[in-house]
Amino acid sequence: MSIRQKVLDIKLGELTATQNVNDFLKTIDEKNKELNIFLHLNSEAIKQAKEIDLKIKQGKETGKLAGICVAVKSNISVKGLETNCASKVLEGYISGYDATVIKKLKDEDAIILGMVNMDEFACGGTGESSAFGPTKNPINSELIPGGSSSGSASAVAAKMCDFALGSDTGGSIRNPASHCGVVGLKPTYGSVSRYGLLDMAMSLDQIGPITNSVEDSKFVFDVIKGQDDLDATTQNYKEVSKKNKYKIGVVNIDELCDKNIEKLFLDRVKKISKDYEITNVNLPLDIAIETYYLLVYVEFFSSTRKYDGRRFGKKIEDFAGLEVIRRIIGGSEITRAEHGGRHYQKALKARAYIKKKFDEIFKEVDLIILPTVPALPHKIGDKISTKEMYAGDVFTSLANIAGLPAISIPMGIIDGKPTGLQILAKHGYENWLMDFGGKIEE
Amino acid sequence: MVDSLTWREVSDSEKEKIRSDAKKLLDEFSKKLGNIEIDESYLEKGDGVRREGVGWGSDEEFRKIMFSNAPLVEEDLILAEKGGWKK
Repeated sequence: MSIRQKVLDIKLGELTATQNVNDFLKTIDEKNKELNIFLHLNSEAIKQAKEIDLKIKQGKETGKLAGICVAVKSNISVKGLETNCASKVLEGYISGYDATVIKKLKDEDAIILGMVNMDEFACGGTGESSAFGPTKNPINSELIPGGSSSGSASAVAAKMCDFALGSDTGGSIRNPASHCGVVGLKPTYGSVSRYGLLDMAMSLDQIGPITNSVEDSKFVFDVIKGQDDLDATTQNYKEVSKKNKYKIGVVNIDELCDKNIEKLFLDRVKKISKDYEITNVNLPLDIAIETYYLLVYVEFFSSTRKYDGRRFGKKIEDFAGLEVIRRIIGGSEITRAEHGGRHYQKALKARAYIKKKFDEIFKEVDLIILPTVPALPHKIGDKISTKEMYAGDVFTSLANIAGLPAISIPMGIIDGKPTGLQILAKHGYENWLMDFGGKIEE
Repeated sequence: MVDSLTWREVSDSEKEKIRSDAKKLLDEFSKKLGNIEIDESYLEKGDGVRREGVGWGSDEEFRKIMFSNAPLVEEDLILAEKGGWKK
């Protein structure tokens, strides 16, 4: 059932908000021990649902998301709930305020069910690096769910909430959406406020929804988007009109991904080509990982300087896990070497180059499609190299580097493992992205 | 470094190994970006509009929660002294 339909049912009294919360709490109770998705539940959820039901009963006006239940990634501040980034560094840290996105959801009468698991400080693409244990994939609990918004995608796939919020720095919403068979949207940089997000890399981070459908994604995006006085990078984007036909750029992915994913992708392209004009395009995928990680290391090092153990939480260098430490050490090395422009300056130039390439491509096509991930989910605990892990971001990180909107929708299942199709658009063109995504969604 | 990605503590000796591996990786990454010839730029914001508002203010509840998060508090002050996290 779509979110729009469920809200209608709640407002018409065919379903109560309390019943909706109780249904999800029952599922969480049954499955969470095995899947390790929710880290903390909101003890006020039922009380808040009852208040919404009362408002409806009394004929009072209720919001666009009345009674809808939301799971929140544990790096987005929710007042009164533990927001620990799945790290021992912030274990016990209670958020003193609501992030702007949370305020917007609450203003529309959504109910926050609780905080969900993630890769520690969003540093990871598998969902394994949480200090509170790996999140498991609801499709097959031996597999990784992807990351870093592992709990958010898993919560939606496991039917533990109506939708979830995640954050995406290099693919952290789209990657787990792909691995869990759900829809993940990374909005245009600056279209959704990051106020209250515990940042990973501030020039790349973006908060977005993970949902069961493209329709739900648009419904939530329309609520959370917009300028925020508390985030100076945000602005209102004009809503662009939909088109009858879109010109689609298909990315050349030769030798860059699993053969089965490539085959599935090409089959899907063939289907799409029956209804849309298709053109082949080349993205600068060969420098995506290098550019992305040089930027991330520096920005992450900078953002973690506040975790000094003096004002809140513990000192990050003493209590964080391997990948967080690697990025902090790497970032400090870049900072040391930077007086000669050895690393960061090169990455900034590469970023400008990538942006220019996208500008050129978007003069020729309306939308770009490519797979979301280059590989299928592996088993939890499998050993892989650092470079192999980073290569998982090859198809997703360019959208962050250029600040573009991108969505992952389910593309198919290979050996029981879901995988996603990714669509990219120009800045502020989420409307096209979701119109096309909705039409080709299966 | 080939490893499982599940969380574990990192020892001081391991940190030194991570540092030397990170240096190699960063040099490798930078080398690949070495031949790009373009001026540094910033992200264009498209056709959007932004009008500045009034900013923000905090409330008593915020203050109360943040004081309870702090490791060291003395009366009306959060003590942010060096080494405080070890106490």
